[in-house]
Amino acid sequence: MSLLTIRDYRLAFDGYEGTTQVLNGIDLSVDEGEAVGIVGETGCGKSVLARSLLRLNPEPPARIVSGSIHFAGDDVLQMQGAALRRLRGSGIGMVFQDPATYLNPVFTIGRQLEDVLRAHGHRRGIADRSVALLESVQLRDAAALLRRYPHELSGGMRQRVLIAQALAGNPRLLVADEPTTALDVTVQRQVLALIADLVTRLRLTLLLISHDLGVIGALCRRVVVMYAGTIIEDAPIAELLAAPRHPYTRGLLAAVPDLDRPDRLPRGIPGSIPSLRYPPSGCRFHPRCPLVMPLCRSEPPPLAGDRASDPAGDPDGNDADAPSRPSHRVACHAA
Amino acid sequence: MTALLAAEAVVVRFGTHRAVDNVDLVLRDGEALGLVGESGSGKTTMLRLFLRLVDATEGRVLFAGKDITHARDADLRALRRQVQVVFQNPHAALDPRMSVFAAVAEPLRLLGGRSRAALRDQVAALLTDVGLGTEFMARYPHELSGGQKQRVCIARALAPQPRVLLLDEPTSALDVSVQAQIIELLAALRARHGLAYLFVSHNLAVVRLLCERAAVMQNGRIVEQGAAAQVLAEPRHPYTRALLDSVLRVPAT
Repeated sequence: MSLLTIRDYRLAFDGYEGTTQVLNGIDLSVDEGEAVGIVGETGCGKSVLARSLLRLNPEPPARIVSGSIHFAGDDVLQMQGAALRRLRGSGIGMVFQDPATYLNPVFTIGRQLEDVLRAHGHRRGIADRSVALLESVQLRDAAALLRRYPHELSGGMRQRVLIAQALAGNPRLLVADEPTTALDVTVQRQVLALIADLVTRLRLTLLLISHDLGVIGALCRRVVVMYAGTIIEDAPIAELLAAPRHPYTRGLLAAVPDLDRPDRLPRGIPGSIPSLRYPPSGCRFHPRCPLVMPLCRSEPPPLAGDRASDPAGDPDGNDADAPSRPSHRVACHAA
Repeated sequence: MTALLAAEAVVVRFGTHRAVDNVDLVLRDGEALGLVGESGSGKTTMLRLFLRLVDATEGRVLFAGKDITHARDADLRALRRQVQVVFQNPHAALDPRMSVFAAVAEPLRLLGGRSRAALRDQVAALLTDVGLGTEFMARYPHELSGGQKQRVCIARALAPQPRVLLLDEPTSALDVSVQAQIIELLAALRARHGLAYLFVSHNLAVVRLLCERAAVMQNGRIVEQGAAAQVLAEPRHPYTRALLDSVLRVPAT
């Protein structure tokens, strides 16, 4: 059962110097209970997409050009007022990248948790609920922590507080946008373990945005690759790593230095990320693509899929529980 | 190989906090030394110490055998001609009002004694060296991508023909596809010019690629150092092991 369905979603930003097409026809479904990673480089639109799910991109300058986003059957793009407030936090909880900037330095942790709980309609037992929330993210001495200010906490603790806030409204979907990028590796590992634990315990659906396939691999079994405002590949992570089909995905994998293979020099992708104000015609990757054909310059490739991991000639003829949508999709004329 | 930069029993104290706590570290001529550790471990303070941007509270700092712990004025200028730096965030390291030409020419201008034509030729050569065409000379930082800005920063650092580059997380602010380009460039430049690198990074894989030796810092102390291949493959110190275990591999295929 699909919890989140995005169809042909296009988002533009209007500015003094013209219009920037930031998301260009996003098609994505996420099933209840799935953990999906979105990977891509700076400016590919992954954070804007994440914020779109909660309508957090200020409109204007953001403008929805076309498409639809449905969460649990409700049309997110039509929501206003109370419905939108219910969606935010109770339907979808969000954790952002930099825990230092998302907490207010002049209020205690307790006050900031109270604000969130009150926004979700709680009036009584707030202190107890706050303590329970902090304990659910494995923070010790929760009662004492309520009286602390953000600067008295380490980066890892602050991120745990933000996760607690995101969970305060009992959301079904947790969106985590680079939740560990600002943290040291040893702390990153702990925070990822916490998210994994919460996802299992609270039966959350997870959308994890990261530039780091290692982070996504730690929590997700499916990964979506974005480039310049489009989804260019969507596959089970094991399959994506073993047999990437899009030339950009292959380039991205070849660019990651591997600690265990120091003999293998990472190779960069020639050129740089295109401007979204003047995106390349056709396939947006074509100016950097080693496999470019004339068709690529004129025609944007559709995100098409086949059932790569669901062989038609399955000897057992066992396709009763085959996925209802393709398990490996790629947007490339050459693939 | 002789010691080019050396710290001897150095302590750097900020108030009561010992950011660097009795460190001995040697960078030999022509070698690449990776300095790894988490935030707050003191690795950037070490780099700033060698630049003389912070002062040692105790101990000595040497360059080519000469005590520079308290060097001033002319001695300090001579030092900085030999020891140049590339910072983490290229977006913040370039003056938005200076063209690429002005940014790369500035250190040359400060050295003096160049005609306008010579200056132009030299900047052109430096830009070519870092893989940028001469058409970049007239551009301003806002017209450049992150990778291009970092190349300009590297060209500017190379301008006085230093013997040492101090690199403070030079690829951490960049996307992976661009990071790989800068890694390739740094490896090529070292081979071409025989530079020594002090490479400060939390990215162990990048250190493993670029450096012959590695030193691991924790709480202001160096807890392990040795050949990069050994330290980062068969660590002896539990902290190094914990660091290595925390690195998330792209799942094996």
